[in-house]
Amino acid sequence: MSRSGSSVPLELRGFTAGYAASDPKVVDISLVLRPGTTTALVGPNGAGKSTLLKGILGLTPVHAADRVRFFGGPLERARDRVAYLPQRSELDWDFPASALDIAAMGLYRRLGLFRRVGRAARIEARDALVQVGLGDLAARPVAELSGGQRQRVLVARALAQRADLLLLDEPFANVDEATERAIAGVLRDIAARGGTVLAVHHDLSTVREEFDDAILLDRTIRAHGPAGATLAETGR
Amino acid sequence: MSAPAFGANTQLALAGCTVFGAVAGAVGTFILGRRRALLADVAGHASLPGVCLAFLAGEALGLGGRNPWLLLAGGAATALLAAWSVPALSRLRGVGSDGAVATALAFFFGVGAVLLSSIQSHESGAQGGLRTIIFGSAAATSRADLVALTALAAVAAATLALFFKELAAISFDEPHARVLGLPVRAIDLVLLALLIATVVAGMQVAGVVLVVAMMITPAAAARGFRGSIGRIAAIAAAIGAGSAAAGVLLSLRFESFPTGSAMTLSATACFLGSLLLPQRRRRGVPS
Repeated sequence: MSRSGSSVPLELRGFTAGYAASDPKVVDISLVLRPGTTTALVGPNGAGKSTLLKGILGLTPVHAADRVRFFGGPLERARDRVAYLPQRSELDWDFPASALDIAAMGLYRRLGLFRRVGRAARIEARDALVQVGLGDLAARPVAELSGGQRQRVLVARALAQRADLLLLDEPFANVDEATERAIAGVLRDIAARGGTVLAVHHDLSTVREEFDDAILLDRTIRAHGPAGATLAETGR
Repeated sequence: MSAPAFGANTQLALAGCTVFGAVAGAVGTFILGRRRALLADVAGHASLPGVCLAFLAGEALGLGGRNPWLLLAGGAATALLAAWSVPALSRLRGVGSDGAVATALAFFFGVGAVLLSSIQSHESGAQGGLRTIIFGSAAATSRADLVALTALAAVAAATLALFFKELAAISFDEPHARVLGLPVRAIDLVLLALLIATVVAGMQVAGVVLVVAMMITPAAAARGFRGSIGRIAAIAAAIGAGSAAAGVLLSLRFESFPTGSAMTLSATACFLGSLLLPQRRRRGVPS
């Protein structure tokens, strides 16, 4: 995964964001993610975990930022390397599309405007579905998939994109155990290939086994380091 | 009751409305997918004041009140103005998106109703007026109308084909599409342009009040079928075309039946039929 630019996948300094400037949800965030690592973003309800991800990606207003760098540059120059997985509940799962259609959406930027999803793209999308264990369900409408299967389709979309920085919002929320294992395995594989993962996570009991590092967030960063040491600060 | 005009006029009306129904169903599928059905309703109602102003302007300028290009331009102008006013209104504290839709729709239609009644009170003969603009009439479909509708159909089909995957991507997951760098705003503008074009193309035959139904009802019926959005759009186009043709025949057979109402009721019958499809009841596991 050697591409141009700095090897630091994400760097923030003095980052403040949230809908209202008078009451930002995250304040003065500074962090650096190392390549080849998985990081859990943990913290109490309302700590600003989702807001932080959305702010980083320009999906919610940013009120101050001394530095936001993706692979050493602005997001605009790294869009093909960055994948975002919103919370599953925010999406329209009644939309008429198959698992394969959604996975192929990861390829839309590379395909470009006005280009159809051809045979090669469908093969890539199917490969991505196979990696998350959904090879058999490629043709199934997403409306008929379980919550866990839907989450895996979103991970497949990021795989199809061949992103090497994944920002995931609650990928393990309300999923079955098979899905949790499958997704955790894929995230570890991505890190082993040099990719980087930052995932909002709510289950403190599984952070240590599923992530290398953890960030404890409560409007600002309270701790950031190896998962075990960081969780020790929460008293768990 | 005069004899229904079967023959060349009927053929023109049938052909024009069938083409319109197909376009409306296909465009409507993407409007429904992007959850813009209420915006389509606003645009339909809000075309009325523009049409009336265009009628008055045409008379004042000596072009005649029923100059078709003037009426289309007028309807499109106020429909666009209303569509733009909805997001602006919904940003106001305490209004919300549904409040914005209701406010804009009522205001523009209200202005249109005032203009329409003033036009009707000065009207010399009913023939030259706008009396069918509310619920539509296919009876006066001309060869020029058919040509214009066919041109719109070609443009709409080409546009949907060109932006097909981007429309799907922003409908399913807009944040992801933004991060991917897809031009979300531009694609929404393309969809809005298609919406307005479909509204003004259909306002004569379907009427400003019910033109939205010809976009949304066939699309909603088609969603009962299994398949990806391209297939759903094709089914919606077929349902739209069939409903429009049925509506024309009904309104010609029963002269008191406005074309728009007859089309809408035909489409609604298809929608009710779609409730029998097994797909309707098999909902996904809630996540």
